Amino acid sequence: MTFAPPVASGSTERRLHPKVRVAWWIGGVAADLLVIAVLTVGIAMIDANTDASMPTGLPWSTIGLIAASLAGRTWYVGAAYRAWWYRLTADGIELHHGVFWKHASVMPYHRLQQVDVGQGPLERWFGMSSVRLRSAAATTDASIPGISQTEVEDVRRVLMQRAGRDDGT
Amino acid sequence: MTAPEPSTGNRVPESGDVEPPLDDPGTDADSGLPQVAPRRLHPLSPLVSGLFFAVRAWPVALFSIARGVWLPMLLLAAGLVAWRWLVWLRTSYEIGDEGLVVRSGIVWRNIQVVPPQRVQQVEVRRQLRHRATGLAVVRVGLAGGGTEAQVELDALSEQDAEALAGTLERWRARHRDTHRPGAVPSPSTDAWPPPTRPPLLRLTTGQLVVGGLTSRSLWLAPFVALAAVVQFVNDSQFAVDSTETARSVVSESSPALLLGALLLVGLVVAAAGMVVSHHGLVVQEVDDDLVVRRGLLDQRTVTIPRDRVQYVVLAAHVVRRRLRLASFDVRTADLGGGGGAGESSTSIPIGDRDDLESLIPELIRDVVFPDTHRHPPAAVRRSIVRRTLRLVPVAVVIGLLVAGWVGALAGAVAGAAIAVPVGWSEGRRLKSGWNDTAIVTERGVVGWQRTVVPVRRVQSIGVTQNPFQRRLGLVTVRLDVAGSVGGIELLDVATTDAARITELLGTPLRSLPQTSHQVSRDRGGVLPRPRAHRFR
Repeated sequence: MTFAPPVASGSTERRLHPKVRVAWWIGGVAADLLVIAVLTVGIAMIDANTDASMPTGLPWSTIGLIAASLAGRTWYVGAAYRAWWYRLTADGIELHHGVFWKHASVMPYHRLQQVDVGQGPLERWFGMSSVRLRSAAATTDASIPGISQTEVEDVRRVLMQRAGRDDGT
Repeated sequence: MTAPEPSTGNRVPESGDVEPPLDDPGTDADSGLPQVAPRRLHPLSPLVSGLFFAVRAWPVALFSIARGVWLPMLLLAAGLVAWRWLVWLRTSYEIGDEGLVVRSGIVWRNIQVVPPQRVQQVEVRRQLRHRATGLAVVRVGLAGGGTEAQVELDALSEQDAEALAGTLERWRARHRDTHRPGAVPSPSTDAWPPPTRPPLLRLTTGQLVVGGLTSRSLWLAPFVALAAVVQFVNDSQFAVDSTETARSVVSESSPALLLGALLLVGLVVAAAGMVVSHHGLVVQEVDDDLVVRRGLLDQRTVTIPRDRVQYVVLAAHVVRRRLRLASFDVRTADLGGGGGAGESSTSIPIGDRDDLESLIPELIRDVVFPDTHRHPPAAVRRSIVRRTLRLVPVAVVIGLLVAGWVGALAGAVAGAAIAVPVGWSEGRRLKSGWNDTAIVTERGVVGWQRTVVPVRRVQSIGVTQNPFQRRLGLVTVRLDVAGSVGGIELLDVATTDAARITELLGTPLRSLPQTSHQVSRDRGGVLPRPRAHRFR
């Protein structure tokens, strides 16, 4: 069996689709707003049932939390995007991500069992997909959250050409 | 082969057919693999499994007896037997060219095909209900966990079960030899039954009793003692002005006696449980496989092909270390049936530590075992800090609740006095070693364990670094192995050493996590930090 030579771009670092930041931002802010809404309703109920001695500062505390969420998420998605990169080397795939907790993982191509390509509603809107690589080990951490459709095909082609020579089980 | 006629693949024998004996499986001339024509399970199996299900329907039985109404019970029993009989009628197994084929299902037909190269381990199990009727269950473990990742034949006659397990093993070994280039065919595959060799390990009842006494139930003893002391203190307070009614029944007896009795009961139960579940445990070498037999009431025989062993874990807590005892766990990619929570049927619960250590090279061959070395001094410091952060707040809160602020202060001092030496000791016991063939890692003081993983079994490697580790030039390395539940962790390894470990897979990390600025600006090679200590 012949294997294709390493792709020309094999050793260069690849980045996620730039719009993945927007998808992350929307998801993160939506989660924050849900928490803030629950908090606000709770505080409003306490306010209504007690005398006005508790300084909850209701309208402004909620506005402040929303502002903090918007600013924090904006910074965080940028930092997370800058920290995320991966590359396809001659022998395996290497992934790096994480802002505070740094994660890196390597997986040789010949351990690859399965490539899952998924697309959520936001990802479909932005024209990107997430790819999950699985080995025989359940703990393998090798998923790429948002890459463009053309790159998905490229990655999948490279991976499937070299998968499954020896799965080690 | 004495089958009524040559098997044509999909044919399931009619219910009136005489089951062909399985004593000598025939051999297909084309593939050289043993074949077994389609067969049903043992005719008694619907009755046995029906009775087993009936035990679970005890509320109906209770209702019937209480009301004297027998119709529901009879209906239930008839329904159960009819259902199990239908299941039996529609279940068949065979070994064909494509592998082990099991057909089942009454309405929705289910066909499981297991190619030989996917068999991880074969287990023959006889619970009490099977032993009473001379039956046995064959469980074929596949990679992964849960009920989907196994084939369970419940139940065959004992001889058939043993023969099927042997056939599966022979068939798997033959397939491996013919399909793996360069592999030397094992010479003994033709001789069946294979010559018996002296067992590699045999546990006596005495060892099992010791194992039970030093098992996890030992940790209950201090709490039992504490409870008895509290009881004693309460009693002595009450004794001054108590009436007969104020005394509990328990406090009538001496607290010391109570303590003794509770301890004794706990320890006897633990020892008895160990003896019952692991009675007569024997590890034997059959062909190129390891066979582990054990059990008093529920007997199990597990066949582990040597080339299926993923990794081994040797564990010994503080008491067992003093006694030179240990326990041992052999893991394949099969996580076990049911929940797949990782309770393995291939563990050896107790044994002489030297005996168990000498078993490791028997299980993992073609491997040079590396020496282990301590992790860098920064790992010891981190271990002390981690232990302190976990213990001191708890001690402070307890002190605060018992004796106010003075108690909190005393708690902080006492917590630190325990946490610092324990953390130091834990940090010193973090050890790892590796070479091209194997990775060994050790950790723990109270519950010490050593994990040995051949490099060829590592699927992928994950490296994690939190902000504190980043300052110290340390990372946590996780080895992903098929069959490991949470991955195998090498805690607080020097960054430079982590790079060497990933190189073992043939895929070096171009750069390991550093600070975010370094990652985004300088990705050219590993950046050794001045405080990172190398230990190799």
